[in-house]
Formats: sequence, C-alpha cells, structure tokens
Amino acid sequence: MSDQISKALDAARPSMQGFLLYPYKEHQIAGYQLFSIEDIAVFRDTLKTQLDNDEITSANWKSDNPSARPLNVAFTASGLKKLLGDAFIEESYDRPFAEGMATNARARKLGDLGPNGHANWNWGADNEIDGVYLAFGADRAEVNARLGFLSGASGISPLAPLIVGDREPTSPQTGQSLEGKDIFGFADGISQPIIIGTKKYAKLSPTEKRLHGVPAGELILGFPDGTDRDWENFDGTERLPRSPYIPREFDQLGLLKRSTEAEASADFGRFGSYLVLRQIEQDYQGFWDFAAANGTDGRDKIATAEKMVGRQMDGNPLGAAPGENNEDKNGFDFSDDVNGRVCPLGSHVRRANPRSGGASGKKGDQKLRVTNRHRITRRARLYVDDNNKPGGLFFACLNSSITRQFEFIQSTWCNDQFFAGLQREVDPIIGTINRPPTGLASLDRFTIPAETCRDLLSGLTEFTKLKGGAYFFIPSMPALSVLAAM
Amino acid sequence: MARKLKHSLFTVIAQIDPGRREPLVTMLEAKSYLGTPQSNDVFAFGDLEQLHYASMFTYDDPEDGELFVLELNVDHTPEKFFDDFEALLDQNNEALEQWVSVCDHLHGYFGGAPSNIRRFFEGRVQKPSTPYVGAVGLSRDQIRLDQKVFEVVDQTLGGGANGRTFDQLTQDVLTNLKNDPATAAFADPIGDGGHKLGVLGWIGNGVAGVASLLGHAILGVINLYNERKAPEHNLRQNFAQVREQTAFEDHSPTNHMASIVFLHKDAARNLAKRNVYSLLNRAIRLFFNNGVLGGIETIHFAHWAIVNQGRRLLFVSNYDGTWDSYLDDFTLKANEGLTLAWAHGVGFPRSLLMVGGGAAYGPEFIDWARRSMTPCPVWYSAYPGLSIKRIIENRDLRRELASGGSNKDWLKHV
Repeated sequence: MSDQISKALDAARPSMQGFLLYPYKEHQIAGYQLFSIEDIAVFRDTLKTQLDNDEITSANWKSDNPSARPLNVAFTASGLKKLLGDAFIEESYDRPFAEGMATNARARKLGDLGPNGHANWNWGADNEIDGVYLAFGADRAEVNARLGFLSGASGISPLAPLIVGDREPTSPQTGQSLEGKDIFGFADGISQPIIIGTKKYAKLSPTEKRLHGVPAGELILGFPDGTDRDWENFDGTERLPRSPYIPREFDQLGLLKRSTEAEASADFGRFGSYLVLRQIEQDYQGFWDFAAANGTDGRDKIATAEKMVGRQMDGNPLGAAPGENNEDKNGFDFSDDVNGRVCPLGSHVRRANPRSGGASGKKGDQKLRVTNRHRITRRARLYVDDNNKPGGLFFACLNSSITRQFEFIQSTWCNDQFFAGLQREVDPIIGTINRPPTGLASLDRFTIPAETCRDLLSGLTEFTKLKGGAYFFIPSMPALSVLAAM
Repeated sequence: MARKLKHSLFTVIAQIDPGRREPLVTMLEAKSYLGTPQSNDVFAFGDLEQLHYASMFTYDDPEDGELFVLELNVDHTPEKFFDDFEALLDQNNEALEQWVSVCDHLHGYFGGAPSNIRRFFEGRVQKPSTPYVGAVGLSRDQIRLDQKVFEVVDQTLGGGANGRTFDQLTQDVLTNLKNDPATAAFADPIGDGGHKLGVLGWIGNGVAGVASLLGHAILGVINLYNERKAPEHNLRQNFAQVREQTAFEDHSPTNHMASIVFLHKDAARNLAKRNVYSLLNRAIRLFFNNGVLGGIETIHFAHWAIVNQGRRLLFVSNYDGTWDSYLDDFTLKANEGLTLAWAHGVGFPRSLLMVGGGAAYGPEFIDWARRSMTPCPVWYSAYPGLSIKRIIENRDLRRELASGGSNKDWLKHV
C-alpha cells in the first residue's frame, strides 16, 4: 500500500540530506560554494566534525532542529574519486555523472554549444570542481557564518566566488519583487513531480495525482522507480534502480546496505540522488525587445512572450481567463489542445514537460506514464550579484538518473529541433539557436499554431546563456560517514 | 499514383585482411562523413540517386575475425543500385580511388576496375531478416521534392496569415508552387508508391502473421527451460567503449546505431529465431507502415539481419534524436517488440516466452545494447536535418495540395 512507501520514506529521513526533500524556502538566501579538495585527510576530519556535530542537515531537520540554518554537501565524480580512491567504481555511477558535464560529446547532446558553450562558462568548463556546499539562511551574514569553516583548515579551497541565490530579489527593471518568478517576470517552479505515498501526494486532487505522481525511486535512490508496473503499491520485492556501489571492505563501520546488484559490494547510493547545477544568465532586455518587435494586431508583447513561455505571466495556464486565480495552476495535460493552438507545441513549458502530448483517454495515460519517467525535482533560485541585482536562474534539480531525466529533458525535448514534428526550432527560452555551422538550416524560428494558419516568429536568439554547470551526487548521511571514515 | 516503390535494406560484409583493420579504421575516420551538408562526401554518396542512408564500420568477431560492414538503404533493388554505383565509379575517378582504398584492406579483393568492386560487394550482400522503413513507398527524390514543397509553402505563409483568408492562402501557395521550377511538377509524384497495404496484402500477411504467432507460442514453451536458464550479462556500460562510440554521435539531429550480438545456437532457438523475424515482418507490414514503429516516431531505416552463418545478429538503425532517447523510447514504449527481436541474444536480460521481461528492464537492456555496439566512423544521410515525422507530414502536405487543397487539411501539415 502507499502508506508503506510513506513509512519507508519516514524511516529514511534521518539518513537523507534535507535538500532531497526540501527547498528550504523558509530561508531567503542560499549560498552555493563550489570547492576543490586540497587535502583529503583534513577534509575527512572536517566532514567528520560536521557529522558528529549534526551540522549537515538531514531530511528530519523539522523534528530535529527546525531553527538551525541548513547545510548540505554534494560531490562531483572528481571529488568522489579523491575521497573513495580504489573504492570508486566508475561504471557503477550514471555515465554523465562519471564523465562530467563538460565533455565535447555531451555538449553536442545537451546543446552546450555556441553562446552556451564551455568557452563562455565562468565555472565547470574543465570539470575542475570536486564538490559544492549548499548553505541557507535569512541573509548573507547567516550563510557566510554557516560556511565559516572554510576560513579554517578545512582541506578544501573555494573555487569561484560564492554564488548567492535569493528567494525574492527585486527586479532592477520593474522594481517589483521576483518571489516565485524568473527574471523575465514569469511565475516559475510551478510544476514539480510529487512522490507517491507522501502526505503531500495524499492531499492532491485525482487529476494532479495522475499528472504529477511519481514513484520515490525516480528522485531518490533506494526506492522502487517507475520501472515497476504498479506505482501505487510497494511490498519490498521490487527491483531497485541502479545505484552506485563500493567494495564492501571499504565500509569498515558496516553503515551501508549490501548492493543488490554487485557481489561483495555495499550500496553507496542508497538514499542519495544526483544533483544537476546550471547557472543560466537571463537577458531581460533582449527577451522583451524581441516580444515587443514580434507582436501582431491581435497579440501584444505580453501575449507573444506568454506563447513562447507556454504559460501566463502569473503562472496560470494559457487559455485560463485572465487574472483568474486558479488554485490549481498545474492540472492540465494538453489533451484538449492537440494542435497547440492554446499552448504552442514548441513553447518552453510544453517542451520541458509534454505531459500526455495531446493524447487523451487510455493513450493519454500511457503517454503520461512515459513522460513521468523523465521528471526532475527542481530546486532553482535566482542568483544575485554583490549588489543584490539578479542575473538569472541558478538551476538545480534532483533525479535518480541524469541520463533518463535531466539530459533527456534537455536533449530530447528542449533542444531537439524535431520535437513534436517541428522543424528548425528549439526551446525559445533555453534552447541553443546559434550552433557551430554544419550546413543545416538555422534554428531561429518559433511556431505559434493559430486558427487560419500558424504564425511564425523568426530571428530568435539566445535569451538565456549558460554560465557554468556540473553534475553532483548528494550522498546519504551514512555514505558521508563512510567518506569521512575512510 | 506512381508505380509501387520498394526499398532495399542490406549490408555488404567482408573479411578484413589480417592486420589491416587499424589502418582501415584510421582511414575511414579521416574521411568521416557525419550526415551534415558541410561534411566532405569523398565517397560520392550524394551522387547515388537511389541512396537514402549509408554507413561503414568494422568489428572484430572472436570467431570470424575482423569484418568490414557497408550498410545501404536504397530505392528499388540492390542490383539496380549496383548498376548506378558501377556507372558512378566509371565516371568519377576521385570517388573510385576512395572506394579502391577501402577495398584494398579487404580479403578477396584483387584490385582493378569498377566492375570488380561491384562484383566484390555484390557477392557479399547480406539481406536482413526484418527490414523496417519509416517512409514506406517514398523515393529519395520524392522526399527531397516534398521538402521543397514544404519550403515554398512555408515561405508563402511567411510570418502568418496576416489577414489573408484560407482561400487566398491556398491560392498563393498553389501559384507559388507552380511558379517555382523546383516544385512546378508537385502534383505528379515521382516516387510515392503509397504506404497502404492492399486487400490481398492484408490477407496474405494476416494469415502468415497468425501462423507465426502460433509458432511463437509453441516454440516459446519448447524454449522455456533454456530461456530461463540462460545467463544474463547484467553488466554496466563500458565507458571507454562508449566514448569511442559517442565521438561519432550527435553531430546532426539524426543518428546512427550499429550493433552485433552473439546468438544462442541450439536447434529450437534457431527455429524460434526464424519464426520471430517472420512474425515481426508481418507486424511491420500490417501495422507499422506509416512512420511509426510500436509508438516510436523516429526511425528512418532499420534492419535486423542474422549473419555469420546464423551466429550473430546485426542491427543497424538510422534514427532521429540522441541514442539515449532512442533506447529509452524503445524500452518504455515497445519493450515487448524489442524482446521479441533480441531474446535470442547471449546475455540478454532474462525474458519470458521471448516477449516478457527482457527489454522491460530498461537500464539492463540499454547497457547490454551499448556493449553490443561498434563505432560508426562513416555515415551518410541523403536529407540531413529532415526528421521522419516531417517526411511523413511533407508527403501528406503535398498529397493534399496535389488534390487541390480545397479543404483545410493541408494546413495541418505546416
């Protein structure tokens, strides 16, 4: 039954880092400190001290210590290689993680080319990062205090200045609060997968359950994922998704469970997840200038921008009455909009989550189920400079397979020029339009299906630019203890 | 309607002379043609007007030694293709030189004239057990013409209707199509043989399909013990091997896959293999003849061939999108079909009656498939940048307009 999932999740809470389940919205400021490990032994001591003093926040923090400022830590493959040494079994990890985000083959796949190419990144281009600390607090002072250990002998050194995420910065262009919005002023972060069996899931409407319920193993390793036919029930006999493992002799304290996949191995990944970070600069002026220049008599700049994004600015679905305060902004599946006349087929929202792809009935359910094998938990915030001026989105997401989830969304939906039968166009918000020349036609188009015939916008350029990125693994508390004790 | 057009999908498989695989691969990699218009077509693939997709790769077989594979997907018959191929080599010395330099690495080639290359290749043709074509009945030139029709329509529509009525739009489009020399003859199909099966085809394939299905059920029971006992590889991907493969991927929005797996060889399995490919053939003809294979809308040409005296299964595919999404699509939408096609492979994830389990274990199947692949340094597409979905839409667009475009249906395809 699904309360078995709920019990299993509750039992796992003390073993999971809090970021897996919480965006820590209570805390206005987030600090993302990328680092490299300089002295492995000293860093193990740092980690051990932090674990002994309960400074790494678990998913049980609300009961344990709700007033503490959260701190979580994640590692890249290069970081885990340093810490695990011979116990790092490369092929036991998801391949994108093991190889790092910044490889040439991956850049072609993800569209990290041209203006989004590694050459223009501020960090991550050399896969030089070992890990990231995620610290949260009411203001910068609290975040800095949380990261105070970095000024002592911690065994790690910061790479790139602290990236600061703000939950509600002020828009320099409009002077309004950007709480829950992106730089362009659009409501963001509305659509999230909800783990089946949680209290949050129980409160959803049947429609929302159908649209957004996913098995826990899609987002957290150690639980059954969507491979299982029955998503609602869980009896402990299911195959678990593939999880990183280490030879058992390296788990000297016996903290980890046996790997169900490899002999004589311990499951290092259980109750962990892969974390994707991408810093996405947003060009407010460029975006709105383009929308203003590409309106028609019946479509002003806001309507044009909304067609590109695929939602109304306030987060309501396209087609909902203007200003209508829809409590449920996410209960649609496009089955009444097969041709995209309401929400264009190639719009950002439709590409990033095509839902039932316009199909309805049983076919729609099947498509939805396939789509939901590609969901991610999003944990983005706007990043701000030293003067609190927001520059764009610090994208963060969690998934149990980077290949099947984040990379699939990025390559097969957002950056695929063949998406939904379209041609020569990619996601108008996050797609890479200006790629190195191959002789193929330009991708600077955006199709808006309309009554008589489609409208076509052309001359698009990148309104967002990638400034850095890396793949991380966010280990469980017992796995952190193994890293500290080796 | 034009005469029914058939495609031929096949490979040429030749033994590589001892010690010559590495130089051959190095040479092929240097001539790498990755399906984009900017690539340098030294083999003159583009001059072969029947050719849709081609590839060249090698693999090292533990029992049969080092082998070279040339994959060809063409209009009409292999014989007609080789007629054109020989004529091309007769006229084009540079291309001849390139083909000779490939053949020089191959066992049994003694040099000489274009007719020798032709004979060498033709004598080594391997026809597939199960071919799949996305754009059934469409010739290469028809596909290119349909795309030109789309482009003229697209330009005529411009930024949108801009106050024009449906009738005005239709008129503008038809006028522009007639005025453009490239599309003036758009109403006369040059190679659209139609994709629908006739009544006789339905009956013939239906009866054969039911017989194969019954055969599969019986052979499934006979094979059950061996099937459940067969060891699974259950190995993760070999990252070094994958890196060699991905170097040749995602240079264009369409990609290529070449895989060779070992087959179980006992007598009951041999019967079941032959039967299952017959079953798949019937299913493809009956149900999957319009650009979609079991829910997958991204395959241009693919085929399964039993090669090396029944000991290997060769699979080649030309598909839209990335490899990971292709395989993902396959395991999520069509895992029963995949299991039917691959259940006789050594190390395949455990299946049940050669249709259940198996590929349904997504990651296990995907990793097994990756391990079976070989890098493909030379790959040609006759229409890069054109998805199979667009090809089908373009065909329907042209057909609607050819019949006058008086209903609004043609607009659905732009």
